[in-house]
Amino acid sequence: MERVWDRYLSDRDREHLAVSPYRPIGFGVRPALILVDNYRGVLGDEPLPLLESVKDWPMSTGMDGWEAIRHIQVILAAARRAAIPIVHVTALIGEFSIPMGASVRSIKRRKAARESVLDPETAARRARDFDPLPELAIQPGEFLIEKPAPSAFFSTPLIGHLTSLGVDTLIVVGESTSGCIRATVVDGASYRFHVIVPEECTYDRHEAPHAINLFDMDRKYADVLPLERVLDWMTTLDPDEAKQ
Amino acid sequence: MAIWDDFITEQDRQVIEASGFGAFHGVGQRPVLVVVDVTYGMTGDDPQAGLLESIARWRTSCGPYAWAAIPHLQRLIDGFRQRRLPVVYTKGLPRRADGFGKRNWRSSRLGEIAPVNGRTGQDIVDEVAPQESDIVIEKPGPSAFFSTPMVAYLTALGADSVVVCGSSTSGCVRATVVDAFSSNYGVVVAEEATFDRAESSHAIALFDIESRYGDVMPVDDILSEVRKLPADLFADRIGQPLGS
Repeated sequence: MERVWDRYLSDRDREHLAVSPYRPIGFGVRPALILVDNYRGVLGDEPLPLLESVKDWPMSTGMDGWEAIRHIQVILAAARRAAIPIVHVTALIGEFSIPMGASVRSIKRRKAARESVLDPETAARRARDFDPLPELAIQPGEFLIEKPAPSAFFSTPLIGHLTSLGVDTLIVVGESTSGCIRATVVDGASYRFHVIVPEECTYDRHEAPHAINLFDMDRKYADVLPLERVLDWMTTLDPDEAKQ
Repeated sequence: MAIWDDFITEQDRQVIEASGFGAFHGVGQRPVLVVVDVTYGMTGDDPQAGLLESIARWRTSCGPYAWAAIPHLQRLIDGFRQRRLPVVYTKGLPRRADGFGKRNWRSSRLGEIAPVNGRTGQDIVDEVAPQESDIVIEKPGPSAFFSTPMVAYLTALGADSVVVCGSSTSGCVRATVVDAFSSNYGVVVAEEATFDRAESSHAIALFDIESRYGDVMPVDDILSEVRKLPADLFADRIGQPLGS
């Protein structure tokens, strides 16, 4: 099977892989779906190529994001049918939150810069950066977690939620593959969960990092699988069992 | 009559009753035994020594209180082993001779780190020695959860609850109980298998735990619940050689 990262690997990488056995992690029995950082700012208001979109939406992932959202809708619907726990993870923002890596001085500087430079239209867009996407709107019974750092686990109640739900498998989707998805997957694996990444349901603004991060995760922390494989497995889950 | 009855006031009693604190949950479906710091530093090495005599040699010793708890600890540990339920031991990280990492413990005798009769304060007491199938965690703070793989191991085991015993009741046992509770595990404390060097701290710590975080139960009651659990609940997770 050809993988998205194949064309980014060096000759020596390929030779090394040929002599290194691949060992899949495998599915557990009680999964949860973790949707990471799907909000307006990474898509923009309409499907546009990345370099178009990024003019108005600096965090945009362009068409890759729009395409991934369609796949995420499919797995979200499947998760609801299977009655497995669903956790929406988004950025912790607001008047009193501190941007990552920010000192007090740089916060003041950034605030001043924002207020002096932004025209009203741009400011209005920035205010909508972290709006949730209607395509993936949260439903009653699903969880919402606001995180202050790349990993969905860092300084959040996620591990406690998963413990009380008796979850053993994480299906991680969203963006960016190289940032928050990877950080969440590494922490998930470190906590001894089976971690599954449906490939088409992750996206990034950079092509090579997207591919190589999927490669890294597949080799080290997770099974990166075609969406279809994950959906097939989800149909084998007993919804009544999941509700317990 | 509870052990804390001598220490709490009439008003305390009325408040607890009126507020509904202390509802009973009992042992969970997949319990793990956590034996906190049953080490020579906490027991001293002479079961016959009086408390002050023992403390003269081991500054953190609980002396006779510790040795009175040892037979109960043995019964409890044996009961878990007979059902092949996981047993996790904790002990302090080894102390460095130069004092680095010693934290701000409020003691004037922190410099006493030399072994006594060949034992260091962090050695687990022979009478309750861990077996090969058990897990031993070295911890840098009072709580078994603080900067340790505890949550990862409990996740790997699929545990839903912990039964906590050991010492000191008001220090490491209590800190571990609070973090286990915060992590969404069910909590039981084995009353006669916990000990402290101060009678009042011991009693009030158990009172606080009983009213907020978990059930303080006699060892016999815990064992009778444990015996009702299916045998080999964790056989697929721990205690079997790989590939068997």
